[in-house]
Amino acid sequence: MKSFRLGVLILLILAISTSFGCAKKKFTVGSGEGTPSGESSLVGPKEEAGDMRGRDVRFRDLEPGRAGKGGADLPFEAKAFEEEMIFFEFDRYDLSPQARAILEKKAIWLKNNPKYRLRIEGHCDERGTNEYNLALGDRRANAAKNYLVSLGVEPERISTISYGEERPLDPRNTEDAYSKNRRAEFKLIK
Amino acid sequence: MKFKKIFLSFFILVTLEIFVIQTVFARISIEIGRPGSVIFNIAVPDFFDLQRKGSAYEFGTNLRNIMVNDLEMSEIFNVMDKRVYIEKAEDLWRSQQVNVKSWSTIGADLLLKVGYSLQGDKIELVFTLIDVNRGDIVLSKSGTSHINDSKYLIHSIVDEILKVLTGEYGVFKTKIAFVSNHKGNKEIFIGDFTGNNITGITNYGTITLLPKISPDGNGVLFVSYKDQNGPQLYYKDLKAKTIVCLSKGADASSGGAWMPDGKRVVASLTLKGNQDLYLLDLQGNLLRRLTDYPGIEVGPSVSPDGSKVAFVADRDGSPQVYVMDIGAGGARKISVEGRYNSSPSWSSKNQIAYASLLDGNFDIVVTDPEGIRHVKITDGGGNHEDPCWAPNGRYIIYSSNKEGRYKLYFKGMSTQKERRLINMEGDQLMPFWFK
Repeated sequence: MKSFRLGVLILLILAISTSFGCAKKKFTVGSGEGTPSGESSLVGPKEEAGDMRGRDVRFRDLEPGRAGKGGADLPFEAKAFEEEMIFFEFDRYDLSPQARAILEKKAIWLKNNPKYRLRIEGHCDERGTNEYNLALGDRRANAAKNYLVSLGVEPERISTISYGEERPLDPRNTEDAYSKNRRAEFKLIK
Repeated sequence: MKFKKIFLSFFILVTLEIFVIQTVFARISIEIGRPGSVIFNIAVPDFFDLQRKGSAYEFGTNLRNIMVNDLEMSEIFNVMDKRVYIEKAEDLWRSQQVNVKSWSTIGADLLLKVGYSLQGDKIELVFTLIDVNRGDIVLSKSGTSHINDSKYLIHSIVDEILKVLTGEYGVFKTKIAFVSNHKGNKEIFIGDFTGNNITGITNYGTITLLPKISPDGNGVLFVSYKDQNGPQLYYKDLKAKTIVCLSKGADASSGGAWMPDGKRVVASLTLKGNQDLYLLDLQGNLLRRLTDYPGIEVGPSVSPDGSKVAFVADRDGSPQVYVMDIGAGGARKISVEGRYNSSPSWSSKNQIAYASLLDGNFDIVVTDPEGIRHVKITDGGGNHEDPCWAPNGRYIIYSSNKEGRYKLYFKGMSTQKERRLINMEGDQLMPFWFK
């Protein structure tokens, strides 16, 4: 029940941000996943829809100067930053090329927004045992952290927490739900 | 007198008196090291109403049904079908002398003769257990309780019978700790094996997991998110109500297990993003590091002599069960099949149960500490997870979602008969069975 409510909440947030995304699609730095409309880009799980070239263009177009000005846009950017998750294979904690690309974007954003600290949450699907999943979620969060640190983000700015299988995005028992639940989430702390 | 003391300590609310009429110390030995190796054929004639001098009463029939269920659940008895009995209860009670031949010829090993009488709100049960092959009385007693507690009186009688035959009590007096989310959050509860007296022992409004009761029953280890710094390992003294965070020196913990001395725990701690096993005292002081490996090491369960620990590691690239000598180190993989084996539980009879991903579902597998023989004990759809042995090592409790939500079930090693335990809303997980 709880996770269902959480799912609804997340869908709501996604829906709201999507409409924002449409209105301000020019400013979707860091949130865009390479899709031109910026709509589906905010639905994290469809990350494979992205294309690397599109991402790079957006970095170069929008990143310079954003940190210095446009304070009003930052909360939106921060929200978009948070909504973009990375996903993992079953029982794995290594980073996929898509996950690396997302983290590379996040690293740049973090460097440009030094007042934010980051908390990375590692999550698992419900298969497997809770205690192993606690460790696996930890590994996932730390894999993301280590990559961000390797890209130059200060390790002191990043904390990690594992929720194991305790906080699924999608509570159903389907492969589709499982793949959404095997994720790392990114929470900004001002 | 000893019996009286034991009875009274269990039935706190029951006034119970036991008079030893006659006890012959003729023990039938069974091989306790191998549960299920001996099954006794036991004949249980109708319960005899000592006041009305008859056995055709519903009250007696109900009591007998409870007794038969208890005996069958005990895993060492096959209760023989009444239809093959040559003598009836009335014949047994007519004379003092039991015609043992009439029972041995139908293949019975044991005869349990039970009579009852009611006085006000009290019930007295008189029973005699006879080895019909030798003609010996194994046990003969009477027990009294409030009539509303006659079920527990019968549980106690069966426990006494088991004690005489096997040297240890059954599971009727045991308890179960478990996690339930029926109130929304995952919290820890403790209940009697009989399903009564379920009480919450945590109420943190967050995620609380993996209860492990101390060997003396006075404390519980668990993992909780209660302090906003992720999953940490706690020890709660159930009497003093004090709580200590044992993983304070680490970033996080995914749980722990008791050493048999009840003074130390083996904990899986995360330090610098790496999980390893550590030996801690109950103040959270690090006594020793037990593993030093760059991968995941979680889910410890300690052998009854405290010399070894079973745990889960991903050394081969997937979670597998290992056994390590706590003193000498040197972990050895004991799981053999499947890409996902976890949650080892080490029994008092030196068997290890674990959850194994087989054909897309988790099932419970039982093996020996060397991992030579592996026997799958659950089947048929859904996941079976979180195995934990009964204190006497004859049963395994686990949680399964085969009926939708996760519920608790237990299975005897001899009969392989599965039974539901504790009826509650929501999901019940991570059972821990203790005395």
